[in-house]
Amino acid sequence: MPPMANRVQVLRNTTLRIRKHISLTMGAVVVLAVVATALIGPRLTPYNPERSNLDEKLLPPVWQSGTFQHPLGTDGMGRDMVSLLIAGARTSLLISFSAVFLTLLIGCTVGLVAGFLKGLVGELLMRLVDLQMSFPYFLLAITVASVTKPNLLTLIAILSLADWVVYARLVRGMILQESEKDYVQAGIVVGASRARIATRYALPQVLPSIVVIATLEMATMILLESTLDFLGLGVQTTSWGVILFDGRQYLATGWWITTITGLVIFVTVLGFNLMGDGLRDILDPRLRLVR
Amino acid sequence: MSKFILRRLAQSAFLVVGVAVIVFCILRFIPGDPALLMAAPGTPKQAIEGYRTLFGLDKPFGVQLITYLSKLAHGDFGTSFRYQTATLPIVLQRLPNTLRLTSLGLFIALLIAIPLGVEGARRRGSWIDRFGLVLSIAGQSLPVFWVGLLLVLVFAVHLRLLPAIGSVGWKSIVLPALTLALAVLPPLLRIVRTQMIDVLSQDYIMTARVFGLSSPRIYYWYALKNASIGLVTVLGVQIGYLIGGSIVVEMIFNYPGVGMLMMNSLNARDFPMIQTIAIVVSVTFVLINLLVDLIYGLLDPRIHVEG
Repeated sequence: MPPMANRVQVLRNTTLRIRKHISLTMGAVVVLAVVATALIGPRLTPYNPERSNLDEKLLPPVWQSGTFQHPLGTDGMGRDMVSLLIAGARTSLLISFSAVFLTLLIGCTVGLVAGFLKGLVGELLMRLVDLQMSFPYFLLAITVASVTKPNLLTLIAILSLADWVVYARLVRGMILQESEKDYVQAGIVVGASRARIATRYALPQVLPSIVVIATLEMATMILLESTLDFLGLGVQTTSWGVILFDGRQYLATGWWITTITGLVIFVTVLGFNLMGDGLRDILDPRLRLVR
Repeated sequence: MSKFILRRLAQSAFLVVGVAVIVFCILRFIPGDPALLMAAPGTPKQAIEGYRTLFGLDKPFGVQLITYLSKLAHGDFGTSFRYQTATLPIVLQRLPNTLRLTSLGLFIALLIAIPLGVEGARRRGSWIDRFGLVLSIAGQSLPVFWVGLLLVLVFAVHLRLLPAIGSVGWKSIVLPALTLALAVLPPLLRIVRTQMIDVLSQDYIMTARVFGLSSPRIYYWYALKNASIGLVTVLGVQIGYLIGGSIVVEMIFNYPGVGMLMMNSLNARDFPMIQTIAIVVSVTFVLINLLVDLIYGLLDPRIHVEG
């Protein structure tokens, strides 16, 4: 029979774990809902999000003397808010997802190479990581974005420069740790190539951590992308940040435009953060202190 | 120690030159001729040629870069296209405003993060701990610009309590600083809590308690001192976010700092100004990080900095 204090501790840990599962479930539900809405978007949108109708501009949402024809009201150009938000979800999620994916590719490749080639190449790559870390990224991003007037692809490229170092450092650290282990040494002895050991055997070891980071990075990217759009430096397509950028001038006459759009961004980002937090506890408790 | 400082200073100088070169290159890759852009429509061709010679735009790229760098070395940061005067004084005049805003924001964030993190670590699972956790995950998910817009909406548009557009008086700094504080709070809160949990499990805390030291003294002096090593690391990283955040916040609140100058210069394609801001900001950033490294040594004498 364990002492009382111990049992209380065990009980508390269990409730903590269950609570984490709750956060994972909540996050996953939100994320799935948003992604599903974005995917079947065009079939859902009651109106063409690009169609402006100046006769119906700045109609308030339904709970504030609005009508059910435009449940969330219309924006300054008479576009239906629901349709706009769904179209925005498509753009914002597509850009963020591509940026996360590209970041992951760049970061992991750099980390793998730097981890296995410890010589000059590895050293150079890590100096590059240091350089990136010691410069305020956002300043660079807005400069590049403002001079290139980005389209979808250039914006994804700019966003990908943000956080590749996170993956690079993680992967390199783990590779260095793994390469001390017997199975890697054994692999070298039986003549497996370095690239093969790295990608087939060492990389899977860091996969859980990468999944966790990528989930949390989705949250970061959605925020970053909408910030660039909000500053007028992003894409011209309808995205959440662009709706906010347009809505800023109607702050006094159409408060719902910015308020609702920001709320949608907040809930989506919260979903990804909750999901990432929950995944971290299940897949990789070690990561807790890293970020 | 002095050897270490010297080496870090040399690294920093290298970094700043790197920034200057990178920004210069980015700005020269733009489609569109700066001379044409700055000339008013209908300017005679000869005048535009004059601009081109004046700013050295007619020379080859390499020559332009070297001229630019050697001028920099002599403290000549160039002439603003928009203001027609030297860029550096204008940037330096705005810099104190931004430093005031960011340090106030950071101060507010620490004022919340430290007590909340310490109490959360002290009583894990209590309502105050849960409040901290919810605050950190919700705060992490809030778009900074949205928080700013909501504050403008409530305080300036509806309540008319604070000036949305204003001077540099204390009233005009409150809302932007609060917005900025909320943006940097979550990571600070998290690190204080995890570090404190780690420190509190160590033997010397128990020893201190056995010796009868008061709880506040143990928690807020002995334990916090050791927990703050992790905090300082995170602070160093957060400085970058503070700079980014202040650009956004200054835009929303029309706060006359470097961030707003940057956005206006980007819109006006005032390249010398953009270059100067990038250099001034990265010098500030590098100096703060150097300071962070030095504080390390003070906080933890075990960390031996090698020359």
